[in-house]
Amino acid sequence: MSTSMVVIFRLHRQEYAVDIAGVQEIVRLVKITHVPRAPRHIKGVINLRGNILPVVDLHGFFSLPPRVNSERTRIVIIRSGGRTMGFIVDEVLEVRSFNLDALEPPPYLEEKKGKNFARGVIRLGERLVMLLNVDVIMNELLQAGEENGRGVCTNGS
Amino acid sequence: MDMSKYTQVFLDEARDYIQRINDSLLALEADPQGNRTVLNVIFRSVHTLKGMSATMGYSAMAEFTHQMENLLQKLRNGEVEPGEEVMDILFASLDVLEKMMDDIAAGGKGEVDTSDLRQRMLALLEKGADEVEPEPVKKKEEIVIEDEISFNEYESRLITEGKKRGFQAYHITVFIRENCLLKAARAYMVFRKLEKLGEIVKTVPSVQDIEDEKFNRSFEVILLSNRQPEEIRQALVSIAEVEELRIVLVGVEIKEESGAISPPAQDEAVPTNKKSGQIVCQDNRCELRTQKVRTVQTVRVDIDRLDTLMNMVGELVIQKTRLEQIGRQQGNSELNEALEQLGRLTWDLQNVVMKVRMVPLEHVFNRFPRMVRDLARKLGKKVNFVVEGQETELDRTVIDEIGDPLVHLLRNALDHGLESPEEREKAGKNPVGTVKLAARYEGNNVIIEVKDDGRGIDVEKVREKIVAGGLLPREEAVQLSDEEVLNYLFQPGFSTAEKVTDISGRGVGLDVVKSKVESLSGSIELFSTPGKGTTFQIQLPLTLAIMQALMVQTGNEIYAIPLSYITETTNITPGDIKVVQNQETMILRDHVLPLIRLHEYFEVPEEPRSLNEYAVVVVKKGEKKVGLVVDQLLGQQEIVIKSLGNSLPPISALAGATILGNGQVALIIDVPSLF
Repeated sequence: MSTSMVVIFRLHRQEYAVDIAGVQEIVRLVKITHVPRAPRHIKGVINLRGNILPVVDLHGFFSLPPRVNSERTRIVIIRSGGRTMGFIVDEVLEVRSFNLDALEPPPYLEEKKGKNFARGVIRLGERLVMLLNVDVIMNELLQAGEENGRGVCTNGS
Repeated sequence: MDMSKYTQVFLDEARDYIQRINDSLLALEADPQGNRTVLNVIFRSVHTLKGMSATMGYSAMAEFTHQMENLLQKLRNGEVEPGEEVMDILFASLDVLEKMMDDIAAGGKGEVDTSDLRQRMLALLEKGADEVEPEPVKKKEEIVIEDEISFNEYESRLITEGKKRGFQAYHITVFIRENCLLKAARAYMVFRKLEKLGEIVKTVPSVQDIEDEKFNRSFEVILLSNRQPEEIRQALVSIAEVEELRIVLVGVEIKEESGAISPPAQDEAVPTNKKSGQIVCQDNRCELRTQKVRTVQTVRVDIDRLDTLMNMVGELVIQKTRLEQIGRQQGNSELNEALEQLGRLTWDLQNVVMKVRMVPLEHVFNRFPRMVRDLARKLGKKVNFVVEGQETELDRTVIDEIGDPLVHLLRNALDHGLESPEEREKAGKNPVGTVKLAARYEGNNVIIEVKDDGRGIDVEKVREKIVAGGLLPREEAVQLSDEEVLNYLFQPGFSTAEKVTDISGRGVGLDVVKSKVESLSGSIELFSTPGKGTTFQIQLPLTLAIMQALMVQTGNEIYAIPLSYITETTNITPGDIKVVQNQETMILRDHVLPLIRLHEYFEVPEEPRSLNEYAVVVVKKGEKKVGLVVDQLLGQQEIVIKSLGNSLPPISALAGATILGNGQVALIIDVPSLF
């Protein structure tokens, strides 16, 4: 049995999780500097103790309704494959351990162009939490920039 | 023993020595009969190189330096004159050494074909031997070998205090026979003997390493003792398998060789020279000259670490600004006082860190005398090459980049600037031309000048070229000032192939020089007087990590525009904006200035504000100008440049980012990309 700690957060009405090993820290929403011509779902950059990091609008990425900032909005700083990015989430719900053996295969709907953005689904009673494949998502985000050249800016903030 | 981790240190130090030899050779060439110290410096440096390479196991290099040493020895004894052939061989040897270094740096063993050079050396040595009786010179001469060991504060205090009590500090190098099986045991016996004679201050490598046999053939000991060096030597030579000894008074060297136990005809790379040993210590009456113990130490640091440090200091400054803002809001005078102190401290800290990144231009300049010499010989020109201000310091990143443009300008000066000696004489000039490379501070900038006293540039011929090249119609070309005409030389491909000779060839590659200098946020200017000479003046910022910028705001976004690109700022009302061929423009002092609305150009997410008046920042790239329309100007500020990191693909319109006093990120506009 292999257990793993995951951070569970909310985007719109859905719950997602990422492996805690990749989570550097969770910070409050700060002013995001818009970056022109950045890849599509990159909202801009923030200053994290002197390092400049891109932040990602996951709502746009998962085609969810536009994000509304609230007191609970957070940026989850995630490191993966030598890259560090911030993911804007509506709320961080909990950190808990989870038995990876009980991971269920991801629903087909979450597969875009054959890329697995989800590693699987964690079932917590009634709740269904999607465990994200951060590396694949980051690759896809940067790819989008190359394809779009002049990325279209997302609608409002 | 794994030597790989020492390779970098070896390379760094060896390059320093090679540079020193190079400088000294040039000095020797300039004044062959001059004082002997120059020759001694060369000899010592070569000797040290030999020892270092032997220790590292680069036998090819050790052997080669040994060969060089033989030649230098002949020079020193006056058996060979430092004539042209000798100098050429020595310079060529340096090139070989450089090649060996490159090979070692690339992971090789430094094995380079040296047979040609060795033949020449041998021929010379034999010739020398024929002419002069190879008798050991009897005159008394001191050979001070530089101390390779540096001391920390504690150690140097021990030594100075010991000296007060009448103790001498000896630097003893013990060489153990190569095939010795129990090196550590022999070392232990050496320590035992030495401890009876005095106090061991330091060993290289450390005692622990020596006990673990982590040394090659030799180890070094610093001993405080009131005994005579001869006594120490006697005590140590009695130990079996101790092959050689070198005992040096710290600051002064008394070279010794335990000839009694040294097997004859040892490996060529034995780091001691028999002859010099005899010279120094005749009849045990060693002449001692005390010098100060060297305590100034340097550390080589990875540039990345400095960048990290710089980063953190920058962050500290930002936090300080934040605190100051809070302090002002609170109105607590005690807090404000403490914050002021903190402010001064961080300011000092920032300055220190900036200084650490600074490197003297010497690192670039010191390879030029040799280059100029070689080039002058090739071109058959006589040159007096003057270097000034090599102590001027610049940021490391600038230093690394400025070398090539300078090489280009110097080559230009020699090749096209200076006339041949005959031509110069005809013109009533000194047949020896002067090329001057000078650096100096000017405000927040460094000025580097490459100046020659050659034929200068014929402005009218350049003007002709402009017309002939179809760059400007004649009527306009005639109206250009001399300065403007000369500026055309920086245009890409301005003068090519056969045109070169007419106008002394300048222009080839000058555009490359210019763009390089500009990429370093610098500028270049050209002055020339026909018949008198030409001067290229490069202006560079002291550092690339910090720059002056104008902060502007559009919508809620703040951008930084590097001041070096800005020519002026002005205001504009929406009614003044004219559309010409789908391009928004304005009239600025009778000239049409294209406009870029930053808001649109940078796709700022929110709706643009409609204002009665906008600010226009006029920026330039070369001769072209464009006006950036923004909501308002926020003022000039010194900013710390940061990269956007590797988590984003490169974005062409941006030169990086900076962090504002309130912790927000502001993007730096890459002005050249706007054109």
